[in-house]
Amino acid sequence: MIARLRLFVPPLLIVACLAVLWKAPVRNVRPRDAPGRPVAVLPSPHIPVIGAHHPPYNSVPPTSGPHVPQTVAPGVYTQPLAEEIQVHVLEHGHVLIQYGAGLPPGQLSELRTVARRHPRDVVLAPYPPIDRGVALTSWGRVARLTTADERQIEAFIAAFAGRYVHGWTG
Amino acid sequence: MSNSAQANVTRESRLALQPISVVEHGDAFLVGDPARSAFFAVPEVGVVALRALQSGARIADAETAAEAYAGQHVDVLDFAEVLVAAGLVESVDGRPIALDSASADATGGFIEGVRPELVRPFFSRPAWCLYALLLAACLIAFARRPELRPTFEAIFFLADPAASVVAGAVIGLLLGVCHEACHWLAARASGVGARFSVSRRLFLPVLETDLSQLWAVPRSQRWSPFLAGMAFDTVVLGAALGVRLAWNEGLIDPPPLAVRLAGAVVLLQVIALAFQTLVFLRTDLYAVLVTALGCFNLYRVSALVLRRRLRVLRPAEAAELAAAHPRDRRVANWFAALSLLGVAAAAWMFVVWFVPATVITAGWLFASLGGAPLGSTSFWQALALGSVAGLQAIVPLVIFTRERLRG
Repeated sequence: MIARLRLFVPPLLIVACLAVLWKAPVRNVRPRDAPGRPVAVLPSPHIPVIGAHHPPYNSVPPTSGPHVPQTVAPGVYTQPLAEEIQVHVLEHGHVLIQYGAGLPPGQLSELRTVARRHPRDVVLAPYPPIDRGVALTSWGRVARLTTADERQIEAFIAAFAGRYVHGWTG
Repeated sequence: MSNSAQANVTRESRLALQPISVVEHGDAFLVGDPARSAFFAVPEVGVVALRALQSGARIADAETAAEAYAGQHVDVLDFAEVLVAAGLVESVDGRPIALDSASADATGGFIEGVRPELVRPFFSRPAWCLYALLLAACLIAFARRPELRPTFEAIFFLADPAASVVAGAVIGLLLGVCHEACHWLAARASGVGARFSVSRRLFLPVLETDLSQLWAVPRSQRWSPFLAGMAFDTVVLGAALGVRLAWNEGLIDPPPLAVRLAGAVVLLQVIALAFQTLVFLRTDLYAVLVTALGCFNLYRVSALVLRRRLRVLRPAEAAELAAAHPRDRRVANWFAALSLLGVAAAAWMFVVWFVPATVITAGWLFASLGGAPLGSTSFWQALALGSVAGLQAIVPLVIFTRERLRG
């Protein structure tokens, strides 16, 4: 029985060691050093359904404003997210990375790698209104990049992920 | 008419007993009929009397044997009447005793159907070591990798949030069914059956497996069936967390939906495992606790202790408490306080979370139904969402009403 038991121990020890040795990255990027520009925060009430009439957003993609009560989990999406959902995602402190249809596959792969590094903070999805390049949004902030510049994207995430969760957090 | 009323038992009577199991449990013995899950605790002298009655001795002779063992007077006639009332006697002096309808109903529903030797490897000692190590690895991963910890958003794993809620409810139900099925399989590994039902814990609907036949097996064989559901939850959690970790490390690149689904499963299983720690809701860990402490009916005795402290104990309940096993009464002193704290926490959760969540969901539902064109996708999504939320609120109410009607 002991011999059989030993078979199970090494893989579990490896998993445990991987978990113990990993350290979370340090976030030390100040908002003013991060890419993008601030956008005035709009009144942001709930609307009943996607497509319901509401005042227009003040940026593309939106960074605040009317939104539906539902949200989506951080992660990678292959279908576009409705703008009314995007705003709710931002209201929960997440960063949206959206890309145009013309983004080269290699750059999309880099975006997926970034999303993978931030499984609780980032939502990655296509966004048809922009033909090419990448749009980064957080609550009241937008940045447009012509390419998937990993350094810029990481700086944006470090500066704004979790900064606003139904209210400014700091 | 009760069983004891229709039987005329005297000191000269001889009893023909049903097949009865006798299992040592702490300083007492559990005597009962596994087929009906009817058990009660007796001291060792009760087992001596029972063995004498099983051998065909008159009650008077059984009493003599018991007194010789105990060195004091033993009322075996009273004990025999208890056996008759519990439905453990087939006939008295050759006169058959009919089971009352409640006892007869209780004999059905226990599912066997799987050979014990087929499922034993899943509940062997190496398997339990594996489950324990897996749980430890999950806890370490959560401690060291905060980004792997689930958030409530994880349930919205589809781009369509309403579809996420419905899919999450279905997945949660399937995982719950598998959790209960694992209790049953582990019970089969111990050679007993189980039966399933839908029940409630305060305001929460739950699936439930009746493992009361386990009282007929030694204590060492009960741990596995009690913990089997949590073992299943741990394996699923470990698998889902493994997918998230491997994806996070760049070791695998599954479809994005699979990664998000794994996140939702992590959330559901963490909730499922956390729920088991609420022992005052008679969860799996409550069964483990009762078995470890050698108690018999801790939940009921704790409720009686609580009623006594609140000075609302009725005379019949006072008698029931006085007749409870001393260990149950002793443990109930602190378990009752724990239960009270737990119920207070649950009441707080009901007011702070359940009621607002229900009101908000109802608000969304009515706003969506009112704002969306009849028959549109949004309309059907709102209806599906409302159905899921409504079921979760209504099922406990229905069960509560049924319990009241049955007294």
